[in-house]
Amino acid sequence: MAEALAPGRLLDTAQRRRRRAETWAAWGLAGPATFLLFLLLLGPTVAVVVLSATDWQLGAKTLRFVGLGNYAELFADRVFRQSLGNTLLYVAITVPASVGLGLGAAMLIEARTSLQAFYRTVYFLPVTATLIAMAVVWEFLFHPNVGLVNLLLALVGIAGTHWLNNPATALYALCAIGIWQSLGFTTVLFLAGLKSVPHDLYDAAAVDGADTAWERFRRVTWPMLGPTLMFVLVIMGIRSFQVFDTVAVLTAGGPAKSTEVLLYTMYTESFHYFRTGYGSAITVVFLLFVLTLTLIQVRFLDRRVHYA
Amino acid sequence: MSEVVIDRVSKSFADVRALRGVSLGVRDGEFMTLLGPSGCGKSTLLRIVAGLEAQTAGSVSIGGENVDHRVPKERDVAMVFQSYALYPYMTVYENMALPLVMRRMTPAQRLPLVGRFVRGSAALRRGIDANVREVAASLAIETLLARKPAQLSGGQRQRAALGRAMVRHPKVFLMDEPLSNLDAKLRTQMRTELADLHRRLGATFIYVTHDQSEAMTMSDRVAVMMDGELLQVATPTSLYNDPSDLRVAEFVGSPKINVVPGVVASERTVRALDGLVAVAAEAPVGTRVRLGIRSESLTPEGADGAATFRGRTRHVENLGSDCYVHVAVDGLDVPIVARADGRRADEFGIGSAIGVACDPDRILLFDDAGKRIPARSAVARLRSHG
Repeated sequence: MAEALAPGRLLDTAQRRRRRAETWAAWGLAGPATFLLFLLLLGPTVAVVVLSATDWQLGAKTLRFVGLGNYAELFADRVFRQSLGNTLLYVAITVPASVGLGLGAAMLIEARTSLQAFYRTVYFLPVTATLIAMAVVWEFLFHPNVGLVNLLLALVGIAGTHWLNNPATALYALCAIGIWQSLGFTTVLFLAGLKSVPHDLYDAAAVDGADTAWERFRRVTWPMLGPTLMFVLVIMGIRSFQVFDTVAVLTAGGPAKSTEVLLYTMYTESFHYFRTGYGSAITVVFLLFVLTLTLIQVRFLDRRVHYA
Repeated sequence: MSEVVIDRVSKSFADVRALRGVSLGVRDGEFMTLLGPSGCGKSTLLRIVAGLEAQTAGSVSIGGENVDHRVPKERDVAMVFQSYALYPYMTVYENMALPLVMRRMTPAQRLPLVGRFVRGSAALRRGIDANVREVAASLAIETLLARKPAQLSGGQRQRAALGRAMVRHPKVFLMDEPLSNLDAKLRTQMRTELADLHRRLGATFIYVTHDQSEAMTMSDRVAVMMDGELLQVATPTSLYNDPSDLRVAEFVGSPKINVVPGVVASERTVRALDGLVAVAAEAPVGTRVRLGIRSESLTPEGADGAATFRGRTRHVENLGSDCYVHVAVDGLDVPIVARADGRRADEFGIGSAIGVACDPDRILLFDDAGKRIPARSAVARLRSHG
């Protein structure tokens, strides 16, 4: 019996040794990436969270832990509350508009038989253009006297305003620029989504009697775009939360804080007033929003919306 | 009455002519198969009958009525797709109910949530429910009604797609390669089930496939298409034994028919390679012909003088009941395949000299263009003269 068992035991040891070697190889291969992940992403995030609990100022040699003091100050701060409200409003306008218009544009382009590539390129151009350069163009468009927007409005008898300098309109003007810039992005994503809808389904719908434009959209296009729509919503949500460059170039948060947004507040607090601890607290709030959206994407997208 | 008449239908895509004036009459209750290699236009023809594609010229009528200007919904046809085309986000029940919901209920009654409060919708829903369950029972998929297509096996999806087609009792069933996505075993089983279903429903079936065995096993008649043209419409039996065109003869039957070049040698003989076969061809002496000989008309035997063809055994396919002997013959690029009883499989040594005898009764003659030349066996007359 012992003789019969021995080879089996040998095999076990050999197997174990091989498995251990595999584990080492795996760590060796994943190691550099893991190290960089900690160094460049997780490390800074942890640092920001820690800093948000201090009163550290950029360049200062000492710091004091203030616990949740920064957060308490944050939510008592009228500017921050305005900033958060503005950001949420910006997201609430930009996301549905760019998603809706993007879906519409994608369906129009997809329905064409010719020039599809041309339209795809034209719509995508704003995404590739540098927003800061484009912001200058928008500044001209919104100019109260010589701007195209007001000239066009004058043609139909509507008196325009100084869009970017009027507290009542400045945020909406920025929303318009945001929508213009994201439209190509959502359009291209939806075009890809539409391409993956099996054409047989439209044929089946036609034979089944669901053949009006509305029924085709409701029975086939819309449900089949579920995964794409979810992805676009989350990505656009994250992108819109990150609005910064148009604010920095065109309005600097004004007039009267009407275009103050989270990232811009964070930027001024951290790099104008050097209140790094306070800025970190804003960053943490911002990160929480983005994290929530990402979790929605991971959970919802992978579980509920995929059919196959 | 649900006969389908296809009258000189043509279809061009940009500069490609997919269909060149195809005319075909499908009788009421007939199982008609459109058979051909991929790209021959058979699916296009089916889609034109369904109304999913508009023909460039010609007309289609169903049940005696011209349907050229009717949308698919108004043609009273149902279609089963190769991909099944089930709505992936709906349950099997919802998939099957949709054609009825779209036809019987008003847009207001169809509304989600609100629709159920619209007058008459409850009664309609009950009727639809009864129909769906009845069809599901006949296909043995009642237990799957609550599942989504992704949770079904290939065969179950196939049945759900059939159920969606059957539920509103259409005049005509159109099937576009419905079995292609199934594994071989299931495909054979579904062939029988489809043929059964056709007998039970008594509806007109138009079935598209590139698989000649599907066409042969299920159809009342088969229409063989190639390059956008109809070559022959016939029962499976006459298609196999009496093909009008060499391309039909080559497409139908497995293994593929042997084709040997020859020439009409006399009124009663045709010379094929070195051999002389006793066939009286209705063509002048000296006409170049091609002989189509099915492998079951060829018998491998010893390499003595009596054999029509002589060569060397290249390969033996033993299928158990039969075996197919591939014989490499001088002057032919492809080997001749002859059938023998499976029990003889071990007699044939690879590379050894072998003769092949030919039954002149079963030889098909074709001219250079591939058209059939009438011919008959001349064995009896040869003997009486000899």
